[in-house]
Amino acid sequence: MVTPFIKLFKSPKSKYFYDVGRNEIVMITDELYDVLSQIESGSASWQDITINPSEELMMLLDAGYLSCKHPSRIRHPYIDTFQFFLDRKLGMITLQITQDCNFRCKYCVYSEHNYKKQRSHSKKTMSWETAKKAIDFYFSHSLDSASRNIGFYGGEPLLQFELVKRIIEYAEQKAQGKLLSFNMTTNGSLLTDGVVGFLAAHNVRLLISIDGHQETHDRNRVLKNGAGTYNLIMNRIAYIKEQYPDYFQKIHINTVIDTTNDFDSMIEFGSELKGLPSENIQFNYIDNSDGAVFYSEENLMKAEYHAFLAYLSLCRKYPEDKLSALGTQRVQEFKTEYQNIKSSHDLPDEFGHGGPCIAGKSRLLITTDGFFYPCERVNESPHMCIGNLKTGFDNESIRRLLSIGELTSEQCISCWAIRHCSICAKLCDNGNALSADEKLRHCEGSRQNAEQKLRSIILQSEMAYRYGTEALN
Amino acid sequence: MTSCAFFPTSPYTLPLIRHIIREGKGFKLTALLSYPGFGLDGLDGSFADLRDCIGLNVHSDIREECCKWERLIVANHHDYLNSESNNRYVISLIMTAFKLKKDVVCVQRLNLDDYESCLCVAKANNCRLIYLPDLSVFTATKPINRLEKLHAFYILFGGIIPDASSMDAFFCCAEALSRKHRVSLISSEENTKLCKVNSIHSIIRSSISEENKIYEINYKLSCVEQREHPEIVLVYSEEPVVAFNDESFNGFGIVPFILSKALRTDLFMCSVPVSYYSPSFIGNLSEGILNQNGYSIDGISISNQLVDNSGILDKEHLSVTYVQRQVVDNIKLQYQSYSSIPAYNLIDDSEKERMAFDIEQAYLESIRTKIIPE
Repeated sequence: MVTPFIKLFKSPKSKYFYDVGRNEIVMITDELYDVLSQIESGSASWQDITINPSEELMMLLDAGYLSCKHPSRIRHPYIDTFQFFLDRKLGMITLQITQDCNFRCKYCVYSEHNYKKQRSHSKKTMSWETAKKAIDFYFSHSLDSASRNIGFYGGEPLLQFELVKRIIEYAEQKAQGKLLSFNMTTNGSLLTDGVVGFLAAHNVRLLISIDGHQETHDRNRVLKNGAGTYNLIMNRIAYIKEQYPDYFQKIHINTVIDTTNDFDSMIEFGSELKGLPSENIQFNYIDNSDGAVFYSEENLMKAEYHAFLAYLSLCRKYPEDKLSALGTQRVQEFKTEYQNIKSSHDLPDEFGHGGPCIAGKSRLLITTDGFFYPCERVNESPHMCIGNLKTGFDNESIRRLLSIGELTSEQCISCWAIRHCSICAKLCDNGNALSADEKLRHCEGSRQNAEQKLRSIILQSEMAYRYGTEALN
Repeated sequence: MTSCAFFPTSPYTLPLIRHIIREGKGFKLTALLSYPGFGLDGLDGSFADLRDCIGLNVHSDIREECCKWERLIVANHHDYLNSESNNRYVISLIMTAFKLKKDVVCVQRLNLDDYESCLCVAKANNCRLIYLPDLSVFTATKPINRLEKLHAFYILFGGIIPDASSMDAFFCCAEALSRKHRVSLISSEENTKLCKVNSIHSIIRSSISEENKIYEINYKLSCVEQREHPEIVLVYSEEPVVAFNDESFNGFGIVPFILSKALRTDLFMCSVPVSYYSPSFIGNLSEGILNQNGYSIDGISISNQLVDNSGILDKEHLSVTYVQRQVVDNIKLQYQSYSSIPAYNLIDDSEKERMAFDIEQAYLESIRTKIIPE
């Protein structure tokens, strides 16, 4: 049965539909909402309604809203041209310096006990020859990139500091002509005096993992012998703060939210981090691609509470400087969501759902032995591999990863969240192959996220309406 | 004929490089230089934009092949290459050229201290520094508050993204039309000064009001008409004709708007990246430009560029990558019959000729139908 490709929404204040073709949220009268609800439930026919439409409906139809058009085929927009981007416009590369780590964090995806789809810690380390080839490969595949960025990743990359140092010096010497920057994901324990001096001199952006207060942090982030690591890291950060105050300001903190921990203790930090801009702290939930993480009611409520404060802050009913770092992150997310929804024309016949990027273009992971993966988040298994330093990109594999939409064409074509889907190849990986069943398992979550996002946009526009004048004073 | 090395080779300077190779009057390019980390070392210059072969390989070491040239041309590098480190590199390149006893023609803007240091080294080595950017700040030539009547046939070349492919169309037409007609060239891009193109760069970049820019450009054009008596004037606008979207504003189309008030555009040739070439888009674009500037699109040069849409979302920065000629041919073939606006793939020589022919026909038609002199 032909019906408009829309999703209905209602808030305590108003009623809306989200027009998938136009990618717009439209406020409507209660009467039209009721009519559209009847069509959605199948108790009325769209054809009958449009024979004698109301003035409001007529206006919307004339303006091109409420189109019934769905794409006829799911196809990634870059399926025919991705090679050009990979040949000439790589964004950044991430070098897996080593698979070894001096920590044994309990939630780590590389742990020997969790995440059966992912590799485990090992002693594998990148050789200088591989590193050099990786840099050369990157530089020869970024002719059209305005700037270049090299990331150091592990395991713990600072276990191989001499290699990191050599890479930075080599890349800087070869880079004249384009901006070059570095970043490093580190546990922070090996930031000794000499190391910090070098990293600061070369402006390496650090991302250090700290999980809130000491007790919370030490519950998960432990050494091989099980000892907590909080004091070890905080000593190093205190040293940076004292000796390199400007560099300290550029440190970024990654906090992994373990839903079994006390929520409040995860999002507040010790005095060592005082002075760090709150936007430098980012929060991520434990990897839940296996669907094994339990979210307690209390945990979810508290997360919502911080989102609520963030909303209040947006309409100037709560001081922004009193927000937690999590609240600050949410404010930024809300603003981005609000700005990123763009009007469009009708859906084309061929359309790719949101989610899959051009594998390797934005953040190509190069492993210790020179194999390519789309990014550091995917499982390092053969079916996710997209090439290597010897033979270059494997276009067939990349085409397969880009084509995940085709795994579930039928469902995607009729899904109202097609534009806002966040499912990429990682979530289709069942450990052995890219699978439609695995992908469909994540659909509901992705749709909920899309709905949440649109509700947030509605709320923001309503708040601006209600509090706009007041907020100016 | 003076043999020259050109720096920096990049997609932004290649249309100029190709024009100099084809038509260079008084000088001949024998070497191409680029930044060592740009990614072109050892490759034919055309690798930068995947268009027709140039026949000169790019080097980053100025000493390599320095026996092949007598003069170094230092062009203005594009904004995205503008960094403290690159500016230092340019100074050291110029100094090295002088030490190699080579003259330097410089379009890249230098700060006063660097300019004076370069002059000293030039003198010490008995070389010349020919510095083309204006040393003084532009000031209004005279108090003017009226628009001079312009008589020539004006063709504007522009595009929807800040790139040089419309410069390619501009030079191709200039070369073809000047064989049969008196043609004058006007450009807002500074490097075109190297080819003795009349520059309006300093007017556009000056701090005078937008209104006075219109008067000044119009006045300059009337001076060009008096001096060169052109039948046809080709105008190249480096600045995009419209804002690209809500993230990439591209100067909001202000310069083409100013131009539309300073002169009457008889034809507008618009360059569009291949990834945006579709009849419906071009139709809407043409209508938007007509509403904004009073002229619509008369011809499209499809450039071999793909806009990096994910880059716009991630970095709020408009950037492109280049594709091979076949991709443009295929897209053109797929859509062209659905559009009333002619499209050209300028990688193809026959297409360049076709564009020039169509433009000439439009000019001849305009003379034929011009009954009453304006």
